[in-house]
Amino acid sequence: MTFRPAEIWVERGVEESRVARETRSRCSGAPVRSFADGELPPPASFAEAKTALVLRRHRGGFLQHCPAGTAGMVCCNYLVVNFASNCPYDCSYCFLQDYLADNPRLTAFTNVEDGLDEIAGVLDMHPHKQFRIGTGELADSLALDPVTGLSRLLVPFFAARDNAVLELKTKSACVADLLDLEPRGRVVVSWSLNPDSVAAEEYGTASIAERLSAASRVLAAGYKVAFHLDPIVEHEGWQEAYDRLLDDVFEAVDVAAIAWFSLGALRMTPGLQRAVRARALPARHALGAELVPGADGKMRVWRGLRVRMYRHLVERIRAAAPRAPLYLCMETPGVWQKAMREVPTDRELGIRIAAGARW
Amino acid sequence: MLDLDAYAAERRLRDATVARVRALGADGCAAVLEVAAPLGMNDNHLRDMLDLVEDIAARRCTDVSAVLRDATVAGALRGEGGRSDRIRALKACLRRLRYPQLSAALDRIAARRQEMGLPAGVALDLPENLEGDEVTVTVRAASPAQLRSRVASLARALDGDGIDAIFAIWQEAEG
Repeated sequence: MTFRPAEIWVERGVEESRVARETRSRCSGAPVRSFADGELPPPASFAEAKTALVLRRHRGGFLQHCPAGTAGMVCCNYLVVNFASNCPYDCSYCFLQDYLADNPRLTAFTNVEDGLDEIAGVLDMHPHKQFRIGTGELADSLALDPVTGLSRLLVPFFAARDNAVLELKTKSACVADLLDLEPRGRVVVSWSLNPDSVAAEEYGTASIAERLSAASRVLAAGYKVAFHLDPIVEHEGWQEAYDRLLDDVFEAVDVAAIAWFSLGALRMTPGLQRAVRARALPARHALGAELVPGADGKMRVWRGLRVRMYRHLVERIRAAAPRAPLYLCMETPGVWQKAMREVPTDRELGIRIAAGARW
Repeated sequence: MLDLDAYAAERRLRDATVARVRALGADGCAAVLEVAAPLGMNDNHLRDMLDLVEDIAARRCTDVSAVLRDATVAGALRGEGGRSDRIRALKACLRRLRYPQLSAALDRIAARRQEMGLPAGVALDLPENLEGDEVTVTVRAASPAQLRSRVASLARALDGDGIDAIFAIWQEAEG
């Protein structure tokens, strides 16, 4: 479903920014309101915070190390850049329900040029290093694209760089703005996927068939694609459900065009569990899985079952796409060893994944 | 039958807990009271129970009343002992329903540990909820001779394949 804001709040002083002009032009029917810093009324609920779009300047740095690189976990040296905050979709398990609980308004930042300057500075400072940078940490990379047209800024910027790959990670089918751009092997469009029964609790997102159809379209337009089975949700019949999902992926997409796969078991903080319970959204899969607390305070499916799930999926993926880099997200060296039969260093893993983006 | 307001007043339940029970609807609310009232559950007991029961209902695609009227739960409620014992038994029963595969793995591990015939004074502990990388072996001894004897017995117990089976169940959910 393509997001259309019920109203647009524009911070005073950014009305003429490129993002604000583009958004007003693309959403001509939506009422536009103006606000000054500190004047924005809080939303009535987390769900309501997703209905209107706030356009404002981002204060502070844009580029960060991916928070998944927690101590004690194998890290893939990924960087995240936040051009938006929150997401119009409403996945039952989404960590933003807790992480953004105090500041949930769906926001697109208008000073994108500042963010790109910051990225350019880092890339220029390390010309021999390969970077992977994603916009899908605090937001879906493409869900707001029909409204802001952000990809029209990002893709040409990264296409002109030799030492970075941009990953646009999404659960949408909003790829229209990408199709006439030239990625030059520097942009990977990736989809988070789950079996239909789990995806049914990813409210507002494109169906899995729509996501795979969008993947075919961007492939035809010259992009590489990637897939994240993350979060993998343990439920009765998980094995058959994920097998069917992978069959659908390999039927829809040429495996040579897959830049990478990642696997990540569902993880929830106690705070997120409370937030999920407190909401009225059906969250059968988020609450029903056999999650237990781990050393980092997050709940995951207990280790033995997690390893069994990973092994099964690794085997299936490697059989069908033996050359596609494959990694686990936010997992310990012990689980890597059992599931992947190796524990790469952060640097090795980062280089290996970045290589997957090359044609 | 006791109504929710009366029970809430009697046990001084928090408003949020009462609202949570009420949100279960008439049947769910009645089922909760059928379990909670005879056990005199306080607010903490009730919240713990609701967390487990709601998650079980989510996992089984059913509702809270169906979980609480499950034969296994009824069996746990009929158990012997005082109020605390029965609350503990109920919680253990719900936990088994909440974590069916983990519970089965723990049962298999316990059986294998039993078969290993570990000597007295030796404990083999796995991480809580099987989440972790290392086992802990504790050997208690009151003299050098006893320590040598127990370590030797432990070594003999580890010669069998019991410990391999335990690792396979724990780390790879196999066996």
